[in-house]
Amino acid sequence: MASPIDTYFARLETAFSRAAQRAGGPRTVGLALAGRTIRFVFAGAALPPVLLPALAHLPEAGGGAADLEILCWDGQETGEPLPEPPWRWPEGAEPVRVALPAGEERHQLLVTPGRDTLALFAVETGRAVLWTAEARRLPTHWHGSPLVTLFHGWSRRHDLHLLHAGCVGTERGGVLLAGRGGSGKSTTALLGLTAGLRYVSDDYCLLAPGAEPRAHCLFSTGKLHRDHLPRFPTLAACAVDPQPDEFEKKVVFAARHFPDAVALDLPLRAVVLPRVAGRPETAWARISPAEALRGLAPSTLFQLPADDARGLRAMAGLVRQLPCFRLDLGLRLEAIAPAVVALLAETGT
Amino acid sequence: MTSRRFRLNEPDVTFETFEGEVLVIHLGCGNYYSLRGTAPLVWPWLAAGYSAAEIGATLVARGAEPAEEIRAAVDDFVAKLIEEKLLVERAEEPAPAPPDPAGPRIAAFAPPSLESYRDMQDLLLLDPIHEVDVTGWPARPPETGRT
Repeated sequence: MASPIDTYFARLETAFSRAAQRAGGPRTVGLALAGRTIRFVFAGAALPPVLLPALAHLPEAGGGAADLEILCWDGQETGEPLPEPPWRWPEGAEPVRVALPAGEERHQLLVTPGRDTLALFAVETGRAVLWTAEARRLPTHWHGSPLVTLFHGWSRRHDLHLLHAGCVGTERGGVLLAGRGGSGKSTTALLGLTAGLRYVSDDYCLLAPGAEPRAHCLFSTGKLHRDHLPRFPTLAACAVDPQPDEFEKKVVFAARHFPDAVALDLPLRAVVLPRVAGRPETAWARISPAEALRGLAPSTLFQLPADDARGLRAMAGLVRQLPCFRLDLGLRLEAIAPAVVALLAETGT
Repeated sequence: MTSRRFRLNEPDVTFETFEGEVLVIHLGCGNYYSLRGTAPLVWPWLAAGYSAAEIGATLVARGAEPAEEIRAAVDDFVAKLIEEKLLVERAEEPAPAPPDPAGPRIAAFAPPSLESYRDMQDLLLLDPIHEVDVTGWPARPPETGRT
């Protein structure tokens, strides 16, 4: 007997089919990510400009079975409303966290206050449905990191781990940039991007553990707080803010403006914890694996829902496997990317 | 407290052990902890269900001294772990065999210490993963729900 959530998922799929019919048929976009196939199926034209630019670096995937399929529709554009959910929508505008009851861990639900977006992901089948009331109202962070928690839930089933970490590098490989917001990881990554380093991410990337761990580029975007725009004139010139939100970050689509810099993936050579040092020069020093994990793990585990010991094990394995460094960011911004290159050389790769 | 037995507050609490340090993360409340001194030795014993009294006695048997200070340090450490909800009391069950008193000698006793980090709530406000505002599976109230 199907559970209520299975029944509701089927109703969402039926509603999507109606939406696609009204929009003149579905449009399918297949993308290759970390050796897996992601397939978006759109009803209408409103959602692709929101969801796809951040994924523009990903090569097209061939046909065949998808490892993740996401059915997407815009309620206003297609005239197809969201089927009434079998639960009470959280009230009020304040974010809340609600827990999965026992037995329903096979699904991941993402909803926003205000009753304007819902995504339901069937973890075991790799199928998801996304409905939004009006795509053009989705805030800017959706353009920069679309469906990030859905990708997080999906990646865990595929021996990948979504990390709250940046990554830049050279042909030698990449450094994983870890640390809480404000530590300097985005600054380091974006300075690397403008200095010609290979760019994977400034905040989230997919870790593929193994004998040679790799960081995969999930979103080829950079996010810039408005206060930081003067520091990055090159990026400020191409940063956009499609729907300003309370997070006040603009987005740079690196695959559009720096196509040669974006790396689909890089072998990781070091874990690096940047911090703003306030001194003129940039310097680095080895740190212990424990200290590196203290910088990497909490910001990942506390920001991504339903993470657990597996994520911590993967990150602990990484800091034991790779040399770890503290990177004291100096005031001379132009010296930071060369410091990353020199640090990479020190790893002997 | 010294005879009470505990277990890790799983699944909320997870940890990784390194040489000289245990990193403990409380996934439920957003805090994380660095355990040092003799904590890397004591932590797995506590997780295995040994009482503070048994652990203190074992440390003394392995050469840590003075005994009173050792027992007080272990009691204090356990109290902090309970206060932070990293350990919870075990239900009644057979006591495990005590740790081996003939293990490696303790030349210089460093009290088990707990350093807590509570900066993650700030981080969530400063640099949130924006889509996680609401996640999970809300319970359906009988008066409004329908299938």
